[in-house]
Amino acid sequence: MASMRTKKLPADIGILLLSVLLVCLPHLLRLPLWISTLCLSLIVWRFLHETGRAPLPGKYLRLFMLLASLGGLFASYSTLLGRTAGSAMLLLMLCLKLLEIKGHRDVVIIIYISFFILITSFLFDQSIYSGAYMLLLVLSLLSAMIVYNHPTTQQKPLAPALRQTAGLAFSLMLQAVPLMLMLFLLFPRLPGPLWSLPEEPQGGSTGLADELEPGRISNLSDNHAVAFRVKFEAPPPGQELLYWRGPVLSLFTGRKWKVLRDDSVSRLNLDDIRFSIPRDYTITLEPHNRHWLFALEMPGTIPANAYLTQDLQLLQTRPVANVTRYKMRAYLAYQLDANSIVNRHYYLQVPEHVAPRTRRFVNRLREQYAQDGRFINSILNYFREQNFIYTRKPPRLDGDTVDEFLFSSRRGYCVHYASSFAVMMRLAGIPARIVSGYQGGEMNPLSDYMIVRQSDAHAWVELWLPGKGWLRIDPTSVIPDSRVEATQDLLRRKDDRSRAAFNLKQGWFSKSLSKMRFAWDSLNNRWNNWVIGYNDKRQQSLLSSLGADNLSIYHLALLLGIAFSISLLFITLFVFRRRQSRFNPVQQAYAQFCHKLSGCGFVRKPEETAQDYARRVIELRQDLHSSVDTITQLYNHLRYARKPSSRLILQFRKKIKHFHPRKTE
Amino acid sequence: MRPRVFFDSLRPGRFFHGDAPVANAINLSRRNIYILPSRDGLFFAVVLILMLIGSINYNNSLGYLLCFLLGSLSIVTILHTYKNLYRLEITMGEIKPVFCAQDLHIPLTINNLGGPARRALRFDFPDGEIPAIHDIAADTQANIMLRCKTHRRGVMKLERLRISCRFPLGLFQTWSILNFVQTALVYPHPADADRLPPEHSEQGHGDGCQGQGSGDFTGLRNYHPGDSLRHIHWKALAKGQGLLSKQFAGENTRELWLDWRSLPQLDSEARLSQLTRWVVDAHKNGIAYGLWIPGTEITPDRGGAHRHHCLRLLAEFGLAEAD
Repeated sequence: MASMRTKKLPADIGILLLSVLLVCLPHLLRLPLWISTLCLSLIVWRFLHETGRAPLPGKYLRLFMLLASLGGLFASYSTLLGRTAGSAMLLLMLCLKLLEIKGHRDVVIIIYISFFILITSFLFDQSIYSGAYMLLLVLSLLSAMIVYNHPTTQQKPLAPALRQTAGLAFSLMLQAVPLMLMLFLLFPRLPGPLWSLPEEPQGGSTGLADELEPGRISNLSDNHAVAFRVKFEAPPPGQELLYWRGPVLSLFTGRKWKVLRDDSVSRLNLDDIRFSIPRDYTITLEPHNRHWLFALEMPGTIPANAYLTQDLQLLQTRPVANVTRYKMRAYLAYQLDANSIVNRHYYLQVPEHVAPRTRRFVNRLREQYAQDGRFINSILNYFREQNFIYTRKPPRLDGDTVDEFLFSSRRGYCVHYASSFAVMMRLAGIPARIVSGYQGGEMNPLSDYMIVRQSDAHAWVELWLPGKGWLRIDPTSVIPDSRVEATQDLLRRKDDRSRAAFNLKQGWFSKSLSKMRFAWDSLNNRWNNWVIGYNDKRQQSLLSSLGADNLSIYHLALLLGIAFSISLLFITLFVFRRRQSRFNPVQQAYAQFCHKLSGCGFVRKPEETAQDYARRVIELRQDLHSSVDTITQLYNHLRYARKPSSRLILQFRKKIKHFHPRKTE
Repeated sequence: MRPRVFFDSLRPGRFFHGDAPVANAINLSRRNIYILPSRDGLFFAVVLILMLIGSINYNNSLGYLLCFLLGSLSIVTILHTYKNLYRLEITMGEIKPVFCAQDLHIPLTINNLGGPARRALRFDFPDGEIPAIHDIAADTQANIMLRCKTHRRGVMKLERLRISCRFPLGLFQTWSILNFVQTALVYPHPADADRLPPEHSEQGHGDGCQGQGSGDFTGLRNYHPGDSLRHIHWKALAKGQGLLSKQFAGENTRELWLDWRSLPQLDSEARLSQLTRWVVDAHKNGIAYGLWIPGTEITPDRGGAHRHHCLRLLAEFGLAEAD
């Protein structure tokens, strides 16, 4: 075993390895373990090689590693295309390339692939964090580019080299920012994709699911992530009216409620809704990788690229994979399908063997209350008066979920109440369906928008009564506050004033903490509105607020060109600004004097003193004798005098200014 | 004659060959600095366009932001790359003659007074093969030495000295072609020292005393570079009479004629080479020598100026007519 001499990490490869490591980091947790491990070990390998502790692999080993990792990728993803597999492949190629850096070109390839990987990572995450991380990575990659174009820094130790190049990269970035903003705001945005994208199986959807199973998931998560943010045109309606409609679950299998997937349902137009005062608002929806959009009940408009199903679910044609902004109009008082119901049998079906005890209970009550309204009230009273408890941690229900909940456990959250209520309605012959979505919302006190969180998720019931149409009933709301076991849910039921009273009771620490949370949230909101959600519509509205309506793409390009040129002009003036010379005015003026004489063929040699230079000039040019002599004497005096008078300096500079030697030849 | 200057500035040849040679300082300004994307820069543009198409297609805002940031950065680096050459004043110093196959040493003075720091300036000649890369600190004047390979004897024109720079990102290359009137003299390559010069002396002086400085003192003359230090009249120097060399009778007796005709078996380049070797050796040993080549005869003498005169003749032999 040959012992290798260890050495210090050279600055250029050090910065490059650091950049590659930064490129890989955010992907490491997302990728399969073997890819993450391989990437990290390739970086470490190169590091060990550069510090003289390991040899590089030969050509055949490299080829083998390349083929093996391609095979591994194919085994993991069963494709090499698409954003997930594609970005994993790029990452592996990048790290493999580290083992064969031969010259400048390989470095350039590594840096450019890194930029490419950076941009693919935005397909997965566009948060503020990833924007900030982008800046850090660009800084580091620029440093690598600088160090590879500057041989002097390459010879320095890593830390000072990094400081120097990163400083320069930072100032370059600062100068590029105004141009970037111009481009971002004014570059013509196209409304749709250039070519249709393949529908990929979406990884990890968040938020609501398209089925509910009351007995299964025993704990409701306390997820405070933001589902969407709402900006109302007018003061928002009260909490009790904020029902954000999402997926509608009409199919009951006995344990689960499912979304009715009926492609034959016609797209409804909204004439069926009888109107009250319209409420206008804009929703900025966080991506959840499903099709549905949320809207206040009942929606009166349909956003672009979306449609409304028969059961009034608002669906987008493509899954919501990016932050999506849409304007909506809602009618809080409405009457829907008052005189007719389509597919009535869907909303009445309950599987035969399900809930035998509930059946008997419903039949008994139904005999007592034949009229629909009174029957419904009696059921709600049952919930209100019996010992039903609202909890986020209900017991698991292993038997018949409806019977077990209604007659033995009596502990549950919205899904349990909605499910058992809807089943009872159906058994009594009243068409019913479950609507899931969000209820309520919290105004950001530091700004003017409402935050709706995942923890606001809710489920309620819609009944159809002849002549009245579909009515919303929220069985959970009848449980009295004394039997609610979760403070946050209790709070949600209250109006804003009692909420404020509750907040007053909090200590200064939790108060400032919640203030910080709201500040952070409004930053996120701005980020969503101005960065992620900035699109063709937003661009048009920005321009029309500046007084330019309906610009064609050519006019927009022209505007961009003009704005870009003007900013570039200012940056150029900044970059080429004259520096104040460290040389004092005397020396500067003397340099000017030498320059004038060099025009006559007398170039001052670096080793020549002012006296020698003057002698040389005078020898050949008697006509300049007096002026050259005075200037030189003045110069020597001013340069070596302890405190030269400013009058003399002025005189000296004036003399040089008026010194115009004639060219003889 | 402004219009002529203007039309002259449009001449495409300036792009590759630069302007007419000048004797004094060359100022780098808008007139003579060029800038174009480098190969890395073109490759970068392709990568950027691909990234932009991707961002448009996925309507990805951060993707747009990254593309625009990188695009703006490359625009900004045009300024920075250009600024690296802008307002430099370059002067070429005197170049000492060398023998063919030795490297020429070319002193440059770069005046950056009042200017910003310049980084990674690259200097090269079209076929000089030895590029030099220098940084120049802000507000200084720097003296640098370039090296250039020599391939043939004669007067070498130092054409098309290229000063170029890719700093900071390597996406753009800016350059300027500097043409100075200075020329370098390249002496012939001295042949190997295995052939002795003919010992006979045509002037008829017989062999004198061997050994240096042992003859009779005959007088003083002005010092020539190359005279032995032992022969300097130090007392005269101390009196302030300048450098004088003592002359001895014994030296004059050994007078050498380096004759083209004594080498009939060689071709003319080899003869020049051989004569060069003899001149060098004779000078080193302090022997007075004369040179005869077709068309020219130089009477025997010694000293640096004589050596240079002889070597210059050898270097330029047969070339003046060809040009």
